[in-house]
Amino acid sequence: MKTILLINLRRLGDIYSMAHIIASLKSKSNTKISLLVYKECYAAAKNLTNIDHVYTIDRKQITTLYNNPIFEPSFAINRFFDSIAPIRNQDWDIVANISNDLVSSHLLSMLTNFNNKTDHIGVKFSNTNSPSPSNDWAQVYNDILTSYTNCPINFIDCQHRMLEIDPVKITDPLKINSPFQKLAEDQIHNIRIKENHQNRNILIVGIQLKSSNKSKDIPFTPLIDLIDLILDNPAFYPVLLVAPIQDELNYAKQLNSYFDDRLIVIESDLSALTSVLKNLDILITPDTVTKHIADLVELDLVEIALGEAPYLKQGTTRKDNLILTSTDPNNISGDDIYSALKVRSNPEKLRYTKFNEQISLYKCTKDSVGTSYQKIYGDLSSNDDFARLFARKYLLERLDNIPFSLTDIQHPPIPIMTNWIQSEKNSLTEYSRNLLQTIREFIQVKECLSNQRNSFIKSLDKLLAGCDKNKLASIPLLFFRGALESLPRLSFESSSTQLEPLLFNLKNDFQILLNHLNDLEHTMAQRKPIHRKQQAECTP
Amino acid sequence: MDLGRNPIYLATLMDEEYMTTIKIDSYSVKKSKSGHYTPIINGIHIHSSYNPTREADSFIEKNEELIQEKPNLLIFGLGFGYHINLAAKLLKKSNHRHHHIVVIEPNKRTHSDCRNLNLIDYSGCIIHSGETIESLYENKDLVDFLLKSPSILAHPASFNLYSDYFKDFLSYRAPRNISNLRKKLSLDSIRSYFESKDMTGSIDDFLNIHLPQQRIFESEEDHLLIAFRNMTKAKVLREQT
Repeated sequence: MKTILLINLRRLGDIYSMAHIIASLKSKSNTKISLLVYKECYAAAKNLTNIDHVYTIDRKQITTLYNNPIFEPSFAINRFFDSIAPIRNQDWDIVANISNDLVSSHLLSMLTNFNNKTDHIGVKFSNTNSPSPSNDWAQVYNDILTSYTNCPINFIDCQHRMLEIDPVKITDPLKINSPFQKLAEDQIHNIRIKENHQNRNILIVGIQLKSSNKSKDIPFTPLIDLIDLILDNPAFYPVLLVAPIQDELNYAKQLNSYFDDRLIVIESDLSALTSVLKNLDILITPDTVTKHIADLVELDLVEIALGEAPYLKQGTTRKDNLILTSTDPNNISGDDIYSALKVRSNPEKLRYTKFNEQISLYKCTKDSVGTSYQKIYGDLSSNDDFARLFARKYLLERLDNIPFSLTDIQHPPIPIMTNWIQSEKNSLTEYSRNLLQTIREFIQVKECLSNQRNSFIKSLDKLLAGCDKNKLASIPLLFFRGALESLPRLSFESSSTQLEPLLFNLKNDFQILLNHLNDLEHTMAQRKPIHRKQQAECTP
Repeated sequence: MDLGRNPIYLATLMDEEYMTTIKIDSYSVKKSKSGHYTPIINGIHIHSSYNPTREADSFIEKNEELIQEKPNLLIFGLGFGYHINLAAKLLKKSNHRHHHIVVIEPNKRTHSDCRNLNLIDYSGCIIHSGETIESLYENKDLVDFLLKSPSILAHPASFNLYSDYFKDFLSYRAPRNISNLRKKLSLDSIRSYFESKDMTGSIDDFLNIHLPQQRIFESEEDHLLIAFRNMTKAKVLREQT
């Protein structure tokens, strides 16, 4: 029996998302899986099946005890160490850092740096305080997904690769409270009976009102308009979903006052929410924990991705679910959301549907890697989606040796592609130039031909600035930077023997990327005569 | 102790056992016109000499919203408990399923007299009397209670009489030096860790400056303390479902 500890010190939605890797780990071998979470997420963790034990740290209490000057800091330190004691006293076969923050990384270090029996997954800190990823996918998790905004791979898919497990179909990932389940079934059934006009099968639409961040919430006026539109359509009936928190209840009340208080508001805590969602037909939600639970109970949904919602990394993972986003969050209307709802319930409707100009609509699809997002409405000629999928293929080639091929990816129009390729090649050229300069400076310092270490550092800084530019060439740069940070903090002379191969590996990586871009350019060039011929045939 | 035949009771002045934390020149207990007892300390009637229960009624009524707002109530000043009993009744009527009252009373004599006269009805009340401010803040149970952010109610006569004491309580700053910290750590491993560090200075300086600058992390405690530092630095965001 393998004992596995998953450390996840993130938020509620992230805890629920772990159900995917938990199911996969459980199917792989005889395992006992325990979780370490913050106390405020205990209720979420306890809802997951296949968990042996949930350990908690009361972060809020410990932080208050430490930061409030009236309390002696010993209280905070004692409580922290008491929380950690149970996991320190256990023998673990594997400890995985899922939250990937400084706290979880040092906890992983504490559990594995002085103990040869425990394997670590994810990033930890060595005893010289250098980041130490367990494998390349851990580096992707730590360095690429955190920095590269046009994210090429979903968190859950990356976690699977980091853990070196294959995803499995999840069955019963969440505990169901039988009384709540019966209550939810009966109540929602009653709504169906009451609202089911003309014997049509009415769809009960749950609308999640609030998220943890105001910038992600569906704005008030579009919400009113959306509910109006839904009420006017006999095929749908809305119910409002809130947590048992006074702010949310007040908000629901305020909203309901626009509808003469006739809307049904379902107030449920985490343990009851699963049962509620299981009985709905479709959900409209911002990026919030409700979305993650809905995915686990296989509910159709439309995700409204506003503000800082990281939909490319952590969007809905159920096939055919939709993500609606806008370049201007103030420009999303009730009509847009309603249209997305209609498309989700009947994909054929997309042909006849119009959205606001700045709207993009993505459909969740599945490929050999896992979850992907295909833009089905919006600026289909933009290169962002193509760039993301290109990056995805590049990562798979680099990390999993899967041959690079773009044949299954839809290309934007040739002029767009040509411009994009040129732009990427320009960046690559610039970064290659910076790299060559850095290598020259490095060789000079190494051979003591120059005492210009500062000059070398300056070149290196200039090179690393490319990490934040979100170009394709930023990906190998991010790998390089991660490897650089993992070097032990020794003298320059000692580090230089390890630095040198990193620089030349980066040169190699740039060359591989350039080859792929050149191949693509060649393919585009071959298509051009056909394209021109087609244009000519079309022109009167 | 039967105070019925001796309406005025004079404690021994400067009795070390009772008066360690505050300067008391005189202490006596008197019956009010309504027949209720009240202590008189340094010439000040802690409760009304006419009707302490009516006075307490009026006081609690003025503070009804404050008392019922939260399930936990911290009261400065015990007196002879008339206001405590009414506050407890009010809390019971509120929506809070579990409620607690903690009282801080500087004068141990007042507490012992109150106890001997059986004046407190409410069994859920915890009274800290005659303790130094430092010892109050070293009390784990009191610390746990304060973490719940209780409402605070000051009995006016008690607060005014012992104003320095209560102001010191409200403005207390716990010591943050490592030498003090060493004595208070409960786990052997972390106590030994700090004992091995030949350091003076504050825990904050150690965690924010010295520890991160260590070239080598030699023990699990090094990593744990870095984790602790990062956890307590981060803003705690409000979680919603």
